[in-house]
Amino acid sequence: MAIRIENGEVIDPAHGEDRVKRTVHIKDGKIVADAGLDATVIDATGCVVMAGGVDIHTHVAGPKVNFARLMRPEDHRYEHVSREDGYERSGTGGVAATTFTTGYRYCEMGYTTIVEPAVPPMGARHAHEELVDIPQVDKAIFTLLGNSEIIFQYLEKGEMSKINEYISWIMDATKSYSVKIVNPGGANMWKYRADIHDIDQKLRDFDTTPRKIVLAIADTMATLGLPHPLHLHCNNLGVPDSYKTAIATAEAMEGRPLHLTHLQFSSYGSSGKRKFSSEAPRLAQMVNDNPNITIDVGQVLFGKTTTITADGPFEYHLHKLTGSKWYNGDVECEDGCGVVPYDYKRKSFVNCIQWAAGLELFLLIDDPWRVYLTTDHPNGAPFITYPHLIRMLMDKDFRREQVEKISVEASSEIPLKVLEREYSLYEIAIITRAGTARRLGLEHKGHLGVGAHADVAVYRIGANYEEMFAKPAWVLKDGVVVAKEGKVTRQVFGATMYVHPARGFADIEKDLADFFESYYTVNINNYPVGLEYLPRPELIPCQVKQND
Amino acid sequence: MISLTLMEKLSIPMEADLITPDNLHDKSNDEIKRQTVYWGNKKKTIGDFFEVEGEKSDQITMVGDCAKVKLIGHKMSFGAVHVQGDTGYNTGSYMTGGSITIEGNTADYLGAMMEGGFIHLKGDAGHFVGGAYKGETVGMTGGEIVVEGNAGHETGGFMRRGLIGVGGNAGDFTGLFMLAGTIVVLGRAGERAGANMMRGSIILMNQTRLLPSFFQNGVVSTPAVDMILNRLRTLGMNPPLAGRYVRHTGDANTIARGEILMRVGNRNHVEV
Amino acid sequence: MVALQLGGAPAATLGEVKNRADLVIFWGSNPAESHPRHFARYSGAAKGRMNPKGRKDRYIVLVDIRPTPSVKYADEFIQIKPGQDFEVLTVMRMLASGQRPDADNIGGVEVQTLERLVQRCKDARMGVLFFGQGITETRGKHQNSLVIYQFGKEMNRHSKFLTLPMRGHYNVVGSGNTMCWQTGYPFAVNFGRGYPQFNPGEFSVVDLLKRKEPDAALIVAAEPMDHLPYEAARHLEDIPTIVLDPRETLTTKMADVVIPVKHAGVSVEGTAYRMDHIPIKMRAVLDSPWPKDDIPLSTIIERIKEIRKEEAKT
Repeated sequence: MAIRIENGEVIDPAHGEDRVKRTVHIKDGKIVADAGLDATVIDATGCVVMAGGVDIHTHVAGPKVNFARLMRPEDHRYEHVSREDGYERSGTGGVAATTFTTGYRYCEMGYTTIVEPAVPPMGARHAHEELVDIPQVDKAIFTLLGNSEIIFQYLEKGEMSKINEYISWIMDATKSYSVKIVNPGGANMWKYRADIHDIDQKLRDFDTTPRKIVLAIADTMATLGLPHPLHLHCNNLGVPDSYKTAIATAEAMEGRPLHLTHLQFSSYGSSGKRKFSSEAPRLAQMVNDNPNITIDVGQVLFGKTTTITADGPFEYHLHKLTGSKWYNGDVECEDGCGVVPYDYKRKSFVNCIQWAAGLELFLLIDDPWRVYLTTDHPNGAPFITYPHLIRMLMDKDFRREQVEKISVEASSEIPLKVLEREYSLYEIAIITRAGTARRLGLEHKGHLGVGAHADVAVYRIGANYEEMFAKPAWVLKDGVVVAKEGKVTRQVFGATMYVHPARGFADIEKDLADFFESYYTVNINNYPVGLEYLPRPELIPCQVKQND
Repeated sequence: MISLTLMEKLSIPMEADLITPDNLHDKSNDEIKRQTVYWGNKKKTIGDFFEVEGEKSDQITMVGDCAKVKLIGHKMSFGAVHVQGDTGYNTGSYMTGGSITIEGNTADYLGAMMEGGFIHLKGDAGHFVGGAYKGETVGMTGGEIVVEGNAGHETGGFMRRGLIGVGGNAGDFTGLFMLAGTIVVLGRAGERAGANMMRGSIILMNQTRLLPSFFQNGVVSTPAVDMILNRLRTLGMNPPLAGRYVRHTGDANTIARGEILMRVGNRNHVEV
Repeated sequence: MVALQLGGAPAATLGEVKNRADLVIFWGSNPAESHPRHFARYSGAAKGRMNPKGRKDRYIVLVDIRPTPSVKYADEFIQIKPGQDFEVLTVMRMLASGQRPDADNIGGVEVQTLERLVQRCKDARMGVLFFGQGITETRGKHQNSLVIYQFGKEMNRHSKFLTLPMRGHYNVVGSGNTMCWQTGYPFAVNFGRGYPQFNPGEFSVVDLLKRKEPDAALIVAAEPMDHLPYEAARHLEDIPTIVLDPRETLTTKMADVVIPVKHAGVSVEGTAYRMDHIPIKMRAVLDSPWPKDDIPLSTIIERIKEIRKEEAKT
């Protein structure tokens, strides 16, 4: 099947193309030099043509997302996707939408690749079962290893080669794409109702510290040549002075590649009357000064949402604060998880500071290739709010209107109000697809060069950027039109991407057998997730050079 | 007036959330007949099941055994619905105004999540009268419900405002998680009334065993109680006036600003 | 489930119990008979990181309305009056926050005894309360589970404390999880309007059957004739039923059409979810001539789609 997208303005930052009028040729699911004369023509007059969106961090599948769905039937009651409206599979929405609905909604915004960034190894099988039911997009999972007791044991003894071997094994056993660390050591301490407050604090059960955990895992990832570097949710997240921990963690990396995720949630200081302030400018400076670091923002937007994280102690803190529902789910030997509904209010001083801090990060980090658009779905806001967020970044008058709506006390304290920067369409294309694809090490995504996957979004330049990005005129997945005018027209299933790093660093077979026997309640033979759980697997090679 | 007469008794339930004055008041007779109802897994029309007389009115009368007709008066905000028989689940759910009168019985979730208006049920109700749907933490936020017969469990659960009067008996967990508002039970209330209630008043005309998390706190005869009972009288109930009440405060496991008033003198003690 | 939807719960996988719990309470549950392996593998004798001596490192309390065979595995047995779980737990919540009820005896238990138990929970390194059908199926039902979750959440102010239901029926958790990611709801889902609607009582199987509302039933890997109350199950005898099951059961005997299928976890591989939501891979160990469940099911769906299309034409 061949398609030519004609008369559109191509925005392809990976090749420096900014609103270049040219034809995009597609054949057999790929971008080609010439699709031939019998190709179907899409007339993209008045439109911009971009690669499909790539979301680097969105909680869409796995045990804790499903708990968020389970715990909140009231979240599903008021929004649904019906077969009557032509969808292949019905579902319900709300912030923690069902799998099919999630796929449709991403597609209807022009996104074609998403990453579920926090799956405990034991939950990988569950996460993959859900990914099978997410249509329209390519997907991948990151495995949580920041509270792995096996790694802690090896760390105590300084056995790096065994850590290499274990992480290589676990990447394969979970059919994962990369490693995520959430509150290193903190979820382990939460098993005693404690937390970690400093990157050099020693754990209770193990002679190690967050600094050692993070460095060891980052080094292993470099050794294994994983395509995406360490994806880190810092200690002390969400509390005043969290920014200090974020800076200390970044410094500890000493130039190693690092992705700090939802940095907004780590950007708070303790100055001001309310002892809560935005320190986003300092963090932006830190990012500007350290080319090894990329971040995604985790923007907060006002409204009701459900917070979902592997950071168990943080969720308990939030539950005590709000008195709302709270689910806690510690995972043996591996990690934790918590789910708490939350309502971000314009009247709340703290919420307004959070909202502003995210925007400040976007506007103060100079290099768009190192800051990515996320809301840490659904923690800051559900992903369907992306078009609204894009408009706030691109339109300073609109942003000012929004600032005027927030709590007066907060609006007088935020650095945001003096920021005049506006993102261009070119920069938006970077923070939503080109940059994220590059940082994920996805060579065939996020651009429209020959050989790229033909995942394309065509947006009609309209009255405002929110409407433009909410309803793309056409969306193509692997060279097939799957949505028109913001509505899915065809159900397709994307690939699940995974890595298979090299092995042979050490012999850990007996260690693992002993460890499972002593501390797990599952049989090691039943533990690894086989390829039978990935109906459309796509192996991404390791040793890809990091894009620092 | 619009009159809807059910042609044949249903065994498979129907979802008829479009039977409201809001939706029908500006429709012609033909348009009313063409309004969608869901019957089992099929999409049908009002005309498939009901003889429709009249048009363009905010007064709707339903005739026949509508026990399987759900969601009558769903989200209605004005006008009146009069049902000369039973109704099904979720009658008057999310209602914000107007009135519903039911001559017969109804099923669960009468006036669930109700915000305003008046529901008068002459027969028995199911569970969750004025309640909250599963997962919601706030139920009824306004309006008045009178049940002349009995009500099931969790009457007024998660209620935040409004008034519920039960003429007969109420099941267990009356006023569960109540945030505010008033519930009056003229018959007997089941066990565990007021469990987890934060604020609000439950007025019981007969003795019942309360949870250990309620503490006796004096005897009262306040004008406020009589005001509420007088209000119920205007709404068509027949509560005894001018009495004295033992006041219990609780639930001790919450902020404990709720009260259960039990009338002194009625000795229909419930032994459990 | 419904209780979880009302307030959440402090939970963990069973390995956490094995590795760290030093106080284990079974409430309305008789694991010696209902979950015989539970005690050995997770909650009783199991040795773990902080429990190297296994049983000796744990204090085990059994709460029930009568002595059961599980009593002999417990360090303490607390007998309460039938149907009084909610009252007893309400008092435990009060005691946890330093309040005392007016009475000295609640539900047949001395308040002092409960006070000691609450103190034990507060002092525990990690306390776990497992609760079973003895509490979820008695007067109050989901409210009983809810008060347990509330107690557990409040206990977390003082110590690490978990509350875990003792779920039965093979892979009921898996079906709940799958329903949840596909529809948003774990059970009682109605697709009649083209999208999922949820309302236990209105759309749950027992209630639908009691009200005689279904006019046909497709039953997959379930045994309603055995497991449901007879007043509900008997409606199935009056309507057309199709049953997918590998074995002969009371339900297949009653059914109009029986489609024999492979037995998941025996003759076909698959995934089952343990009671703590951990998915376990099930291997095929025996051969079977029958198809997997999904084959007849997708055939039925395809045929329905064709019929619908034909209907739309006429």
